[in-house]
Formats: sequence, C-alpha cells, structure tokens
Amino acid sequence: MLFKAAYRNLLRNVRRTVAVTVTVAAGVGGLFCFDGFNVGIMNQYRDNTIHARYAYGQVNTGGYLEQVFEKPWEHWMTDSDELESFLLGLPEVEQIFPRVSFSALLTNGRVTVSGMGQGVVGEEEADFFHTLNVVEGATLSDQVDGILLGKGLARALDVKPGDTVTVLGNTVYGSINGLDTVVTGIFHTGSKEFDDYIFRVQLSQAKELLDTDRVEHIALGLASLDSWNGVAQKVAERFPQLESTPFAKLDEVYYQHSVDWLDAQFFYIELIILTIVLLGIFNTTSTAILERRQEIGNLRANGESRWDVMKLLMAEGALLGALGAVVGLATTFILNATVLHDGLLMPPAPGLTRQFQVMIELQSYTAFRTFFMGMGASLIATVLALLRVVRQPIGELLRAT
Amino acid sequence: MSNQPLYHIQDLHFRYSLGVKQVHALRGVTLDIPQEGVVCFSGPSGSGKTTLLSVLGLIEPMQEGSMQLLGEDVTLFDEVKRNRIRRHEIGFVFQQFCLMPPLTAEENVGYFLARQGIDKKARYERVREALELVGLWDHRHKKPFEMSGGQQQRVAVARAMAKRPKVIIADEPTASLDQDNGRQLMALFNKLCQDRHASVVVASHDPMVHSFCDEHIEMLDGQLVEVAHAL
Repeated sequence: MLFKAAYRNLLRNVRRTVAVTVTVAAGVGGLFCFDGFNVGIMNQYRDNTIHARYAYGQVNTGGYLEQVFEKPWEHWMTDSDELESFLLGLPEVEQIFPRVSFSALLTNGRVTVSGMGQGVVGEEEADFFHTLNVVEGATLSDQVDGILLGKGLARALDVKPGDTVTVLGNTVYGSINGLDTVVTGIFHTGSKEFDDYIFRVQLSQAKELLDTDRVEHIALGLASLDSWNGVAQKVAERFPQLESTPFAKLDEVYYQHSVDWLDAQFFYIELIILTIVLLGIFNTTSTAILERRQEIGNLRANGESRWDVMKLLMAEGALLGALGAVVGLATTFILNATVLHDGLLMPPAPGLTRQFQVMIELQSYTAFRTFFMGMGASLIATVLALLRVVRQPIGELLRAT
Repeated sequence: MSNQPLYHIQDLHFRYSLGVKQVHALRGVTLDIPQEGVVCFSGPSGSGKTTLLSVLGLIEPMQEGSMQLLGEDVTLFDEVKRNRIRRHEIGFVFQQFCLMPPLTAEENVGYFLARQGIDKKARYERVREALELVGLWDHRHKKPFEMSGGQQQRVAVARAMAKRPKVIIADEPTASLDQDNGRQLMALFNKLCQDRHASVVVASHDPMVHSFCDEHIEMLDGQLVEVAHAL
C-alpha cells in the first residue's frame, strides 16, 4: 500500500513529476555522457600512445630508465636473442620491437641539425605503429638505407622523400661514424616536441653506426592491454636483471597525468552537477511537501509515526529519482547512437598539433553509478525538504492551509 | 464493559502561541466521557471545541491538568504509544476530510487498516461494510476529486469507522452534508455506539446534530458552560 500510494502520488501532479524527472535526467544523462567522453578521450590517447611510440611497454636493463648514464650503451641488453626468443614464445606477445636510440647530427650538405635517432626493425614496426602519421612518402619498412624523419626535422633540413641525408654519430668506442640514408617518408605524431627531434633508421643500420650488437630495449606488441602484468611477471621470473615498464609509465607526463587530471576533473564536475540536481529537486519537492502538510497531518493523526511518513515520501523521492535516472540514461544512449554516433571533433589537445575525433564510450559501470547517484540525490532532497515539515506538531499540520 | 469513563479529564488548560500572543483555548475543562454514546460539543467559533477534540485525539500534547484514557494517564504515554493508540483506538473525521487524493475511496478506507496489519481479505470485508454503511460502495473506485464534498465526508466517516476504534472524533462531520444525509450519518453514529459499544465525540454547530447526542455540551471561551443529557 505504501508503494502504491507513493506511485500514485507521482501521477497526482504531473507538472511537478515532469520537472523533477527532467532535473534528474539532465544530471544523470550529463554525468553519464561526460564520463563516456572522458573515457573516449583517454582510450584514444592511449591507443595513440601505444601505436605511435611506445607499444604496450618495453623491457630493458633493470634501473636503466631511472638513471642518466654517460655511456648508456654500456647498460643496454646483451644477448637479446635469448630474450627475443623467450618473448615470442609467450602466447600474449604478438610482436616484439627491439630498438636503440642515439643522438646524432643530420645533414643534407647545406644544413646540419641535431636529432634523436631510433634504430627500429622497420618491417615489424610498419603495421603496428599505424598512428604514426606519414604525411609524405612511405613509412620505414624494408628499405635498408631508409630514414623516416619527423615533420619538424624534415622542415629544418628542407628535405623530401627521395632526398639523401647523412647521419653522423659516434660509435660506442668514441670514434665518428656516418650513414648515408634516403628519406622514405616524413611523419608527424601530433606531438611537436617529438616531431621536431626524432628520426628513424633500420636497427641494423643504427647498430652499424654505433658499432654495437646490444639492444637498448624491446617494445612489446600484445594481444591486449590486460596481458601486460602477466607478461611483465614472466619476464621478471626468467630475467631478474631486466625490468618491464608499461606504456603509461613511459608516457607518465602526458598519458598518466592526463588520466589522473581528467579523473579529478570528473569528480569535481560530478559534485557540481549533483549539487545542482539536488537543489533543483529540493526546491520542487519543498513546495510539494508544504502543499501536503494537511495530508501529512492526517497520516500522523491516524497513527503514522514521523518515520512512517518519511518512508512514504522517500519512496516517492526514490521512485522519481529512479524514473529520472532511467530517462537520463536512455536519452544518453539514444543520443550516442544517433547524433553523437560519429563522435565529437575536438581541437588539438595540449602538446598535439592535430584535431581528433572523440567517441563517447559509455560505460556500464558509470550507468549503474550515475543511476544510483540520481536516485540518491532525489532521496536526499526529499529528506531535506521533509525534515522541517515532519517535525511540526500534528495539530499545526492539520491547521495548515 | 466497565463503568470506567473512556476519558476522565480534570482542570485541562491549553494555550496556543499566535506570534507573540498567547491564546488560552481551554480554561480548566473538567469532564468524563463515557465508553459508549455520542457526545457533542457546540459553541461559537473560538470556544475551544476543536482544541478539545485535538487533545482527546492525542493530536495536541497535554499542557496543564490531567487526562486519563481508560484509566491510564496520557501524560505518561510516549510517542510510540500515542501513535499506537491513534492508529488502533481512535478514528478521526476532519472538517477538511483529509482524504489521500491519489487513492480511491476503497483504498482511502483501507489504507490505515493495512497499516494496522490487517490482512487483505479481512480488510476488504471491513472496507465493504464501512462503505455500504455510508452508502458509497458503488462509488468505491472513485477518487476524491471525482466525488462531491458530501461523498468525501462520508468516505472520511467510513475510514474512521472501518478502524473499529474505541472512539471516533469528528469535527463538524455534517458540515458538508445536506440535512437528510446529516441525519443518516448521526443515526449511523448512534448505531455504531450501540453495536460496537464505542464512543463518538462530535464538535458541531448544527442543532440537528444535538438531537442525536446522548450528551450535549455547550462551550464558551474554552470552558464548559452547559451540559445536557438526552432524555
């Protein structure tokens, strides 16, 4: 009977019910959509980070990333063949990308600029690192003497695909060495800092330049992100002298900090939206409850305790909250499947130079959370509105007009 | 049934605050109300009738004086006991009906029975009996806004009767009824008192009502000025 009365009361003042429903729906739908937007941004950023630069993570000598060495190549991995065979034997690992990095001078005969070189296995990396945007020419694949230049670097050298660039560097023994390369393509990742400084040559060429057979690190292409911890653990067990670092840690300054920053932002926006929803409902509910003082007085006169009355009105509040939350979630689903189907075009993010399309990736966990938040806000607003009235003496309630 | 009065009231005073002003609504009321019979309070507006009914119904708290309900001192009742007595032993008929708008007549009458814990079948029987007594069984599916003021008042009476209380407290129960329906209602109250050995306490200006009462008490300025017993 309690819930029947609560339910019927919702139909009693349709305008009030609609007002509260819309308030809750707007809050819940907004939060749900905003969270989906954040997830969309972070997932895209994550994929971009993985498929442009870092893969899922890398294996290197223990402590290598934490220190700065005068001669870093002395701390690179020896006997990388054994590690490579081991990694390729793991079911979670789909691809491996052994790499070295080095600083070098690049010259076209007229201009000389410094850059950071990456020695990579072009054929292996070409498919995996697909978000490395090649804006001119082709990516580095099987061209033995090829070089792939960052957009800024290419502009500084004023070269285009097919031009020759000489790479000058030091061998690990200190002598000067050089490589004659042909520009295969020009890339940009969207990160200006990266694009102004980085170039890529074949790993074999880089090793020849540096006169070493060591590998600085091996980046890993996995079947899924969830596999990372398992792979890292297996590597640690077999090669205790090595360490595995996930991409989020490698790109901590951008990726992880962005995730943390957006999470914190979401928390505060959530608080603001919930407060607005709560105040909106409180206003409507307060008026409705004041109008019903005589009815509340009648309930109390007939033996209903304060708590009984509160239960009845709280049931109404909860029902309204649930209704509003369902409407909000459903509306967001529909909008996401229709007008937001292709996502939202966003301006370049900090540190990036190109626009990007963000998909709203709705999360079932957030749907549940925002549903209960909407219901909770409605319930709290009802209780706050009710507290003053339910404390009034019965006689006073019955005399209310 | 013992000869013990339902209410035994001595030197009852009650004051309201109206802003900074104090209104002395009851000034030393002393009386007994029997366990069976219709007692009517009349008097001009502001004479204290409604206040006295509220105190009898445990709606207003005791301020000064004493009141016993079936020998028990009501000042010793805690909130839970007051709620329990109002739920089970007292039926109310308010001047403004105070029906629950979203519920039908049948549901309005049954609501407090459900809250008493009475099962569905027994509840249905009681609701049916009460609505038949007030002549509204055929209107049981109507909501208050679909009924006239008189019909709503009769639903309120049915709701009070269905509880089978020891006392029905009715404030101007015939105010919304025509003379015929008013007479029928008062006759019903008389029958209820006889059949169920219950008491009905009424406040009314209506001289017709007085003729149906076992005891008619005139009030003025918060005091009882005249007590008349039916012959």
